[in-house]
Amino acid sequence: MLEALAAFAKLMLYAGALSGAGAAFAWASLGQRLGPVGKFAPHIVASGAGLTLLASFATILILIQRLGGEFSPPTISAVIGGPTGFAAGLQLAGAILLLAFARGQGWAWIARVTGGGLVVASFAVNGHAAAVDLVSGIVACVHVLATAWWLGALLLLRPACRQLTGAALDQLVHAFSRIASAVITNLLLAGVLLILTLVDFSHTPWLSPYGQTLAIKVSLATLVLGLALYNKVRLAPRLADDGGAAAITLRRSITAEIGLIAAVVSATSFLTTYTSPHT
Amino acid sequence: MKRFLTSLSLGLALAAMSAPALAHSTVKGTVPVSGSILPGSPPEIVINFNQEARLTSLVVAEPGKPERKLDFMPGGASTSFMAHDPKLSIGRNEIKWKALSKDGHPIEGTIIIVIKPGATPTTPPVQHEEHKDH
Ligand code: HEM
Ligand SMILES: [Cu+2]
Repeated sequence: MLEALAAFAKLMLYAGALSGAGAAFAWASLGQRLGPVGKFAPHIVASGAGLTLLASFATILILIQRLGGEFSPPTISAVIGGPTGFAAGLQLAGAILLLAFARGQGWAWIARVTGGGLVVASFAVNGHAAAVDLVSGIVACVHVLATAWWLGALLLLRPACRQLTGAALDQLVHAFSRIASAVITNLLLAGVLLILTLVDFSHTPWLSPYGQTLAIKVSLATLVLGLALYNKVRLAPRLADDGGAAAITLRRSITAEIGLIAAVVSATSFLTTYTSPHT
Repeated sequence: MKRFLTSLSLGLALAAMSAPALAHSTVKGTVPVSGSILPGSPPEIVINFNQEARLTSLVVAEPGKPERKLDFMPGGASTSFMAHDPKLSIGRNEIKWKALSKDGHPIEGTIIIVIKPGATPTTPPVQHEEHKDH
């Protein structure tokens, strides 16, 4: 029961962190090309940050429950004084920055990117990879950073398919595509590195619950990557000529992509709550 | 932007060459070993982890008594924790511990120590703590 709650809080943390920080990153990198779609960005940043705040608090409370449920000095110091507390601190600080500057014009984007950076950095200090060493923690952080940008950008691209037309949409999608290729390369590379770091291949890892959950996650991720590739290779080029129809198809495809990413993230929260690479 | 990201990939690949190590805290051993039969309460109970962990609770369940908390040292992260003079009762003592592993997961386990006055101290040959990871 507590474990299920912990997994749910983790899922909410991922959802909030990835969408809030990700929208901040995507907004900063796509900038003016978003045109009228830019007005959706503050909303995504703020709700993602709010969810991050709530989920981060909930995670701490649930962890205390799982450690015996007492607010005793050893429990408090273990939870708050260790990597878990450090990560929660980064999440809170980042989420507050995101909330405070969600709407700001001009230089506010720097505060938003910093806030998103703090939230994402929390994945470098706590977790399976972070427990190995700092470099592995940073690899996990890059994996999350790439995921965040991708999800944030898709959340903006989806309304754009309806709000923008012709050359404006075409330009936005091209700008997205160019950055996305590099971002997704990093996501994949970091994912493979995480597997190489975390999984002990001398012990038939695919038979362990961790190995099996990871296999499900990677299969789902392969589906998303396939769909992303399809969007890039088949749908995006059609935007220039047959605008309207292609935009509607692209929008549908992006919706599916976001849904699949949600499935991958759900599998990940199960993976990091219920299973461990070393049991 | 793109060039920056490409160099990031390369940097990561290089960094990873210097990896891996295992990342999960479990119990390496306890003194006394779980399953021990002793003539009297041991002077101390020691729990050793294979990796830094943070012990958060240590309680003993004795026959016919309410659970009792044991004080332990040190506070904070360590690979070894000690409870001094646990004053175990005659009969079967179940010592339950909970800890936060280095990777942020709760872990827990139980050490069973039987106190039998006059018994010659016996410790089981194979360590069989009933410990459970997440
Ligand atoms: C749509 C694609 C993907 C998404 C949205 C995604 C998302 C995530 C997230 C949010 C984490 C959590 C990090 C943490 O809590 O510390 C994570 C961890 C991880 N991901 Fe991915 N990921 C994706 C693709 C992949 C791929 C393709 C691989 C492998 C090739 C992969 C391998 C891993 C591994 C090994 C971990 C570490 C889990 C652990 O800490 O035990 N991911 N991913
Ligand atoms: Cu673990």
